[in-house]
Amino acid sequence: MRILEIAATGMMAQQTNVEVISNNIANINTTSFKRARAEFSDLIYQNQQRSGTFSSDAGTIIPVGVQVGLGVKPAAVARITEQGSLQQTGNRLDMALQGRGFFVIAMPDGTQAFTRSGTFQLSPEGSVVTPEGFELDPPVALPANVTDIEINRSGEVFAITPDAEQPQLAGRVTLATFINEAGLDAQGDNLFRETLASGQPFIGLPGEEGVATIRQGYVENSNVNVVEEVTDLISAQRAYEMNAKVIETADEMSQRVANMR
Amino acid sequence: MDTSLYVNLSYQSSLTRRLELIANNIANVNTTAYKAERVMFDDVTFNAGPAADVSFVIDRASFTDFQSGSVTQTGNQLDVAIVGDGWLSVQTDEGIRYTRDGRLEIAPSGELVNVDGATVLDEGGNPILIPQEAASIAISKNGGVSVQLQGEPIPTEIGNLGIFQFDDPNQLVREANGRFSGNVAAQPVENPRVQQFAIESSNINPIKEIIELMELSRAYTQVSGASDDIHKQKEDSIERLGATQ
Repeated sequence: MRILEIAATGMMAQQTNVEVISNNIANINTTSFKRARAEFSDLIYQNQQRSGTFSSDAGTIIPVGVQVGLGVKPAAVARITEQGSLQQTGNRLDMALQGRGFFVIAMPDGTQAFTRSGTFQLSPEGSVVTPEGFELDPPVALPANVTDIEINRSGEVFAITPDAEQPQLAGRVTLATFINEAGLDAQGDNLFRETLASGQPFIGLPGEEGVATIRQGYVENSNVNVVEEVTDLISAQRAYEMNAKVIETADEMSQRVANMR
Repeated sequence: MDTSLYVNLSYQSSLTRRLELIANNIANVNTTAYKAERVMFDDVTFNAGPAADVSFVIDRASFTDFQSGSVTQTGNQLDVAIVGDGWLSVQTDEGIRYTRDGRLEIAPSGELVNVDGATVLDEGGNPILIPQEAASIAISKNGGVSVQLQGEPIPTEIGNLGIFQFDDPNQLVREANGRFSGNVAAQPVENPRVQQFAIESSNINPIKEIIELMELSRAYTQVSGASDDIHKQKEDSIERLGATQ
């Protein structure tokens, strides 16, 4: 029966929806996490051929006959790239981005990855690295005897050392922007890679027109809104139940038919 | 031959068709810019003899409920909702199609496409090209697309979303992915209203659909009960008439 299959596509779509919502809620405290949204599209429509119908008396009605749609499919899972709120940490190497842009990370295999998560650490060699130990690209290296680090809004990293009176410029953080941030491929560990859909990265300096500024001592929270996610979860669950109700009704009806003498 | 069972049958098959449409509506309760599909019942009357006319039920046609869905904020710069009457035009392999689904994306070629990859067209029927250097996109209230190029202080206008309307949208034929094909001429909307950072939700009213579902279930039960009664009546009359001999 077609009704059962239509309702089943609806249940599967809502299941995808709940999966996406649960991933959002699971990452509510993940630094710089961007929430995702499940996108749905309707499936094809079938025009019913009803041979032998007496339609000559009706000249005013739509010429298309009865169109029956075959249900719904998940079209995409899109990331919503809204800015997350900033949270002060006091950590000297925490950098939050305010505006558009990604830190450029040099991966061990020689490629570039992109992240908005600015929770950096120092490597044993004095380089600024991600929690996984990957260096910034271009690398920012601090002298071994560094006592304090200053990072300004334009991404210039200054090292304060006991043997110099003035802070020494140790390097500058560059940022990449993408025309279609939603098209980036999520790799896990807060890292993204460029794809055909995202377009090429544009390397810019923080604070330029259209590029984010850097806030030292802050991290960007996830942009997940709990209230919104829970509301979506309720609506997804109800939609799931409604589809189940359709299946139940179709089942009752066919049972009725089976019991007719 | 007594037609009562066949009248019931015509009603039952119409109800099944109606359930298929309700199932599709409910399956698409969260589909962007989905429009409800409804069925139109009609009667087909036969002159069944001197006594009376017999009317059968027929699901004459289905029609699309073009009421706008509610506008939902998404915060995504490539989402647009058309407020009021109006359709975006997209180029597909089969030709130009119309949709109200404003979830846009940027193709690798820089063209503005919708969520399933069909190129979105401007007023003149040409693709809208987003320059590679664009850092952000703004879509104005009347559908004008402008981009903020990197390193430039003023946004650059690059085109207008083509927004069209039809005298009689009921003439449109429905296709997959929220698209409609027009056998009728599309005219540009004079003062289109577009909302960026938002999408149009499905216009399904869940309560209404569930109530229809319940009504339908009851009606089906009643009509099959009636068929049972007619069957019983016939059985009884055969038995009694047989016994009198």
